[in-house]
Amino acid sequence: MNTVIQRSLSAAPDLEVSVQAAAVLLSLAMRDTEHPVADLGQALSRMVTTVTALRKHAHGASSSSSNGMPVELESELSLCIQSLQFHDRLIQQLAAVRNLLASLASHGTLDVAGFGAQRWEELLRILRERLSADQHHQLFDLLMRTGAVDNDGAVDNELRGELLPAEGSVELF
Amino acid sequence: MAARILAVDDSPSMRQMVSIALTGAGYQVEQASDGVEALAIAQKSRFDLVITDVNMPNMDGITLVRELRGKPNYKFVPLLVLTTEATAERKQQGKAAGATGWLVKPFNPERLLATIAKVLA
Repeated sequence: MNTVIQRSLSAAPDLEVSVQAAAVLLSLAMRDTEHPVADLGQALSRMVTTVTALRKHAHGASSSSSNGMPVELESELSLCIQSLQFHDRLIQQLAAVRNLLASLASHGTLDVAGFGAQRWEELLRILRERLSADQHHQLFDLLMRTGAVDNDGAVDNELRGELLPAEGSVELF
Repeated sequence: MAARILAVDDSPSMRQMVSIALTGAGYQVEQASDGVEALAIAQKSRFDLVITDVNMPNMDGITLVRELRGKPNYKFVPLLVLTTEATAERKQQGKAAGATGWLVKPFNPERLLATIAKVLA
C-alpha cells in the first residue's frame, strides 16, 4: 500500500494527493499498532491475574511474608497501565489529525495558488468546527497555530501548563 | 460478594486498562463500547458503579449519566466520568447530569481504586 502511495505521489505530487496519502498512511500506522497493543494489554491482564493469585497465596501462607514481590510487581503493573493509556491518547490525536487531513482533501475546491490569508483563516475555522473534543481543539490549535496559540513557544508552554495539571485528577461532586 | 462495575469507553484499550485495574482489585467488571450499549446492559442487570468516558459514538457519557440517573435502579448508584476533558464547563455538565465524580485520563490505578472505594462506601 505504501509503495502505491509513493508511486502516486511521484506521479502527481500535488497537494490533494499528498494530503490524501498522509491520511491513509496515518490510518495504516494506527491500524498497525492495534494488535500489538491488544496483545500487550492481554499480557498485562495475565500478569495481573498471576500477581493477584500470588497475593492470595502469600496471604494464605503467612499474613506478613510475601517477600515483597507481588507489591513490587503491582507497582510496576500500575505504571504499565498508566503508561499504556498514552497510546490511546496518541491514537485519538492521530485520528483527529487524519480527520483534518481527510477534510482538507475532500474540500475539493482548494485554490492553493490563490490561497490568501483570509481564505486560510476561513478554512481553519471550518476544520476546527468539525472537531468536537476540547483536546482536539487544543491539538488543532497547536498544530495549525490558530486562535490563542501563536508562534511564540511561550504560548505553547502556557497551553501545556493548562492541560497537564488536570491529567489524572479526581474530583468528586 | 465483589461489587459489579460497568466500564464504558469506545476505546478497546482503555476498556482493557480499566478492566485490568479493577479486576486486579477484586471487582467484577463488564464492558460497553458506547452509551447505547451501556444503557442496554445496565437495564438488564444492576451494577454497583458505572464508570464512563464522555466522547463516544451513538450516545456520549454525559447523556448516559443523565439517562441512568432517570432510572429508579440507578438513582443512587455512583456514576463516575473518566475522560480526557478537563474544562470546568464540561465538568459542570457532568455534575448537572448527575455524575458522582470526574476523573481525568490518564488515570492512576491506585487513585482510581481509592476513588471507587470511597464512592462505594
